[in-house]
Amino acid sequence: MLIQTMTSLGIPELIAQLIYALLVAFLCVNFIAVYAGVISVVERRVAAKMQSRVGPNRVGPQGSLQWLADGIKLILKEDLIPDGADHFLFKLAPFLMAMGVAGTFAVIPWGPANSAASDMNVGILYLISITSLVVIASLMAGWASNNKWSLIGGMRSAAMIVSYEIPVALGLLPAILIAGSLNMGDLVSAQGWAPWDWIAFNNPFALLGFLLFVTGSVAESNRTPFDLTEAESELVAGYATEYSGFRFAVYTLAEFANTWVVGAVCAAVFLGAGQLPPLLEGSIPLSVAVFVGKTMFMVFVLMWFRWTLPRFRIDQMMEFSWKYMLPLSLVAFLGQAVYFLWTWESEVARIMVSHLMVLVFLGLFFYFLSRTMVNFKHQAVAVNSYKTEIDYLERMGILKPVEAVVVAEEEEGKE
Amino acid sequence: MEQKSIFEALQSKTQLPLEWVEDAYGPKLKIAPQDLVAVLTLLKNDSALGFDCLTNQTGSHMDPVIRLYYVLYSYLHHHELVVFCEVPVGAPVVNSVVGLFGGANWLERETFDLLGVKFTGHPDLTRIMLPEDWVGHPLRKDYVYVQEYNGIDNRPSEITKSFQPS
Amino acid sequence: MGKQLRTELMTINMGPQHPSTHGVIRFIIKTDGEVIHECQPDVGYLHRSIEKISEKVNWQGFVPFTDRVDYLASMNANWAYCFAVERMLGTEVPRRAEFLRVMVGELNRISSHLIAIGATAMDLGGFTPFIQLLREREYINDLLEMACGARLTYNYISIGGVNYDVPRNWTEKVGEFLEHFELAMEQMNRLISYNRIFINRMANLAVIPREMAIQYNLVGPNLRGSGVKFDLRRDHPYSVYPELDFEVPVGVGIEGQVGDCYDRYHVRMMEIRESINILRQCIKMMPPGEIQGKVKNVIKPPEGTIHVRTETPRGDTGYLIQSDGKTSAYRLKIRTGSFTAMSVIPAVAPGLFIADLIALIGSLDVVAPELDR
Repeated sequence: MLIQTMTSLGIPELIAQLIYALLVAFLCVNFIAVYAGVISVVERRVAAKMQSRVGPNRVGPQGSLQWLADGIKLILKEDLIPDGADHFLFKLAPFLMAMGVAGTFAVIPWGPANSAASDMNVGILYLISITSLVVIASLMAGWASNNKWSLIGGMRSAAMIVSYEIPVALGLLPAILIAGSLNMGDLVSAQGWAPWDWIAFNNPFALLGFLLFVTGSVAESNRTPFDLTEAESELVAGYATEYSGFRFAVYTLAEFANTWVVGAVCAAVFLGAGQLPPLLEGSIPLSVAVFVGKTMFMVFVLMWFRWTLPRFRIDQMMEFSWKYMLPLSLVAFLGQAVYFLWTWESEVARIMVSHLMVLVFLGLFFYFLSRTMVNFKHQAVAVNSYKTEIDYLERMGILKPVEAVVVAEEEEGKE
Repeated sequence: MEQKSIFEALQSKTQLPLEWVEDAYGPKLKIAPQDLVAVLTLLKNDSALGFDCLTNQTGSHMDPVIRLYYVLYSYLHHHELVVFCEVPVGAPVVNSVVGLFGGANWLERETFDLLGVKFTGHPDLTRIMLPEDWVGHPLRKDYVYVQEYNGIDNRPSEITKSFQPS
Repeated sequence: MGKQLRTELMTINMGPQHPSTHGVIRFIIKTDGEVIHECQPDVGYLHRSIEKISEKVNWQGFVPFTDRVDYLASMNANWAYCFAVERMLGTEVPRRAEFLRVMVGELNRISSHLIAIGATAMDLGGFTPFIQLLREREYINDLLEMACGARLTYNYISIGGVNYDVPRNWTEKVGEFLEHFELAMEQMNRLISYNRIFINRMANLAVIPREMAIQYNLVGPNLRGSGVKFDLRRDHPYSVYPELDFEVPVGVGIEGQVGDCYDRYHVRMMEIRESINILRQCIKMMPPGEIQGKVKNVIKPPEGTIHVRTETPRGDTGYLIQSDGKTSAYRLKIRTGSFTAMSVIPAVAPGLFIADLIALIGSLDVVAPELDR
């Protein structure tokens, strides 16, 4: 649309496209920076909540400006490059990393169908391939740092992303089969507003594909339980060990921006994107809000994983990918194809299956909630039975005098 | 098993000179340093005694000798025995018992580090607590505190001196 | 034949500044990729000459230094030393003091095990259990602070008794805490102990069989993890432990083989449960009365040598004390659990992954100050 306006004003089409691309890139990169900053604070607050802590709450209301302080601090830090490092590769690696993540924003939709920056007909394929740039970046960083921990981190990263790429791509295939297209816009418009119209609940194989995609994406974005590349207690900080200042900030930005990519792809491909009920059809802000809500829910799920689970070991992780996820993703793909043949004629069967899926999923969700309720009950006991604040006041002598001294004197007096 | 019967059982099984030393806290077995490995092997391998663990090993500088303590424990019979031998300070050399008790490895290294006893046959007799280039063995009674180590001034300051009991 | 590729092992320096070598321990490891071929621990970064200090200060004056021997379980470290000196002097400790010692000792054992378990979980990537367990430890610190006014280095147990009596409602507060704590431990079990990933990381890892554990002089939970049912509190009872009823948990290979990392972890979990048991009984049995036995101001134990072992959280602490009848020890040697646990690492490390080595250190519960003294 913008390009059309510009060409009608007499600007050559090539230049118009260039201006459009630069504008979109500018917006995306700024969105990444702001989103990564905000989500880093959110993650720290969420983690703190899960761990009975307070978290950052000093800078701005409820710590909401903490990310600005962190960013300014990181930029002001000295830019260190180790002596034996390969300077060129060392400097190049963070940019490749940022490119790999920022590139995906070209095809990620923002709500309604056809809202992606580029309406590419091979959108999904492009997305999978551009994220692989991260492998080169982390391997490069690990090698160029001239540090053995970095090297191990880079190697692990390469091995991990290469093996999880396959289940991730295969996990997307059921969705592609259902939509019959690699285009993001087509994938979005193949779904409806209600959960039983989403691809994730279309049939069991699509749900399997969804779960495989989420698991694989967690691994690809280097988060616990698959954060072996930067396993703090093992490899210090993995390939980012030797980085400091703004270069380190770029890694952090890329990592947090990756959560958006994962969440957005989940929402767009599997969870009905920003599709609205027929009554509200056409309201773009509402559609965007729905989409962002779904994305943030997926981001929250990723945080949940991270702060609950311990970490895999490298061999267990590879085993998990090649022995379990790869066969399962093939099952999902083939099963989807067979399911299609089977229900080709019967619209009713398809509708029944998808409704049943939603019901089962809801049942599982409430079962899970009932199990977690035990934790809340225990938490309540903790707060009631042990009154820390009151004890503290007692100790400080605010509530009533400390009895210990009195007892000791009494007993001595009796003798 | 009672301490007394341990001694009697041991005496009946070997011709080596054994001495039963009583102090305020019970009896201890004194042996000659050259018999150390032989006696400890016997204590470990005999089924009635069954001392399968060297639970503590250390030394004490008592001029003109260094007394080496070996505390044995039996997880089979739940009894303990303190064995000691004395080596001269001038040539503190004794056979290592690492071959008998794996745990002796680090205990002997510590004794070597802090008291300067040389254990022949030890696989890796290096300093464990102190740096490799440290001079002297601090737990000896005649140890002189170093005044300077690799450029670090270690002399007591005026404040420290003022706190020292006269 | 193809060309012979020349390969060599990579030497990596792990520590002393490394996130998972608790405190300052250094490992020089030779690896083939991620697999360890040789692991040489380098200790001594926290050596504070505590044994030499014992020859300079008088007998009572050494008690605060024992706090620093193991600062995660100072109560037990105090107790081990005071118990040894009391054995030398033949001091009678009042009954109330004995019960107070058992109570603070068991509370401290729980808090020490919480750190051990939490640190293990953190090293395996689970950050939340560590923080949650530290929160529980804070409550115990509160209780111990009520008893003696300190939160880390207590200097509470003195030769002949304890230094202060506890506040009047202290035992009830301990009881309230235990009510809450049992539920919290259940929560912790659900969060980490039954977690499949955690179990897979710990089970069948770095197996230390029974004979090897005794050979290498492992003590305490590490020894019991290898299946040796030995607890000084039961086999050579001291204090009021003979009157108390408790189990000695041993490793049974609950998820893998006997003596693997998960067994050691599990034994610690079970020991916390037993400590709760002991504390409950103590609350009921706590007698009134004196808290300090009759000890002279200047102690001069008779000449001779004594070896006393006391059960502490990181295995038993063996005090070998030689007295020459003067006001300070002639020679005092502390054999700690971490020291012997550390010496087994070079023997079991080959063949493990780098990540496994961290799990192994965590499961052996090695703490640098106790190791180096």
